[in-house]
Amino acid sequence: MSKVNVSVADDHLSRFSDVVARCRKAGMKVEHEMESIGVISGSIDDEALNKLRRVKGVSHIESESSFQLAPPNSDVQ
Amino acid sequence: MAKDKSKKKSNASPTTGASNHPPTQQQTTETTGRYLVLMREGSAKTNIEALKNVAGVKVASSSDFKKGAVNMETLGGAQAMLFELLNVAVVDAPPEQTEALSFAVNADNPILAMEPERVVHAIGDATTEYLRGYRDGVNHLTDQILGITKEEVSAAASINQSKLTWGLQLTNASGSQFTGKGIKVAVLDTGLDLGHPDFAGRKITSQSFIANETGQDGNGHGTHCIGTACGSLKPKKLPRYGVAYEAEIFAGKVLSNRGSGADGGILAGIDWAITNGCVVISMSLGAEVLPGEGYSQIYENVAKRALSAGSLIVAAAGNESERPARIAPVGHPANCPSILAVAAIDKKLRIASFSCGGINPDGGGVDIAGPGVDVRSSVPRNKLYRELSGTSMATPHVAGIAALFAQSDPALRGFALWAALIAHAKRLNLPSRDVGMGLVQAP
Repeated sequence: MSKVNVSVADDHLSRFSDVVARCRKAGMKVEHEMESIGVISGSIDDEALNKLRRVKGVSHIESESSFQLAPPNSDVQ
Repeated sequence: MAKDKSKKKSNASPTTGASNHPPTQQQTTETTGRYLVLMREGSAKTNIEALKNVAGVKVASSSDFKKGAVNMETLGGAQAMLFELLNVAVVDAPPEQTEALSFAVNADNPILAMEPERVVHAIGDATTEYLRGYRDGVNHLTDQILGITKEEVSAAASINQSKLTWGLQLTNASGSQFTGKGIKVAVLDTGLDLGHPDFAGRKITSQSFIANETGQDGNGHGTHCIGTACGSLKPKKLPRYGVAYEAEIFAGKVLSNRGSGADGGILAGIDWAITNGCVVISMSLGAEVLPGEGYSQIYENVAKRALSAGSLIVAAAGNESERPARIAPVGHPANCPSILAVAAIDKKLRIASFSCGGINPDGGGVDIAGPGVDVRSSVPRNKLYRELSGTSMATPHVAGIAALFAQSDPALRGFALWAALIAHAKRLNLPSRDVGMGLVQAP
């Protein structure tokens, strides 16, 4: 399973929930539906990624990157 | 500034230039007939090619010679010697070639200025004196171009911070009639110390996007950033350090108490901020990108949609540079074209050694600079205050000032707010690669 973020295409924003449903059907385990920014986050089996790419209304899929602050005792933050 | 090393994933524009005419010998100064040419900071290859293309000058580079082996009298047999670390070339070429070079000054190329090389009479050790004279010549040339006066530098160094931090003073945030009243500011970070005395009585909405953690700041980074953006007019202990002291605070915890987070939580935080009508979203977080690496299409889409909804996303450019040796590219997600990327400067208006630069094409530039070295702000009890450095500290200065602009004119939302910040920035004598349009200024 990979954590992914999916961007919904501009011309499908008005049917956001339909795109979410199609992503679920393609095998995505949806965690957050963020309609105001048109992004769906969740996870999916690597084998199902191609299926997700072909979902109508999906414009971009990116794997999740992580962030780490410098330790609190560091002077540069 | 959050970063993740494991993640897979300019140009100088002199504000004042030298004259466009061929340099002439000054009566009081003995010159050698050679010229010093100040080149833009950049790769030696680019600069050597520029000299060749503009005037057909054959260039040797200091790096071609072993330490101490450069013969300055013969220039190693070439017509010019480029000192890579100084970005200065000494040119000894026929008049038609030096004239071609002088006409190229200020045009769209790396040749910034030119002046005659002075003769320095050796008093002590000849090499040392040559280098001293050389250094004086270079300093004189750079001062002339950059226009930094000694008065400015000494004034900056002697800023009195007993009542106001240097950042509030140099951005004019402390002189502004605006307070951020009526404006919602989201800071997506490690949360806020909700019991900090300086935030008593403020309207605060706290939300955690980190599993099993509340919005209470157990790290300190978030409380520092929120303090700069929205801290009190009258803190428990002076100096005042906060910009938009009457703004409504939305403290979104997207980084854990250990300082870690991921895109999912950050995007959820942005969504929450937009849904709540936040006009500014401040993100002192990022992940390192490689030279040549592109930006995230997802964040770019998000940022565009945020602008359309009237929310401006401001993000830290990143702290991966080790200047002057290395300039690292603006990190993710500040490298998105529709996210305002913030660099850090110090109180002498110099670029911070760690501040990332706009070296990647396609949106990966710095847009604006903020105070980001030795910045005093709030930290969780019982310490209450601390000085920190980083583009993380520069970013909330810009976010707070954005709130002042938003209060000053209800039409300044989304891209109009971006444009107002850029238009009012104070030009600095630094490359736009490093500071974008300059130092953020309050209305």
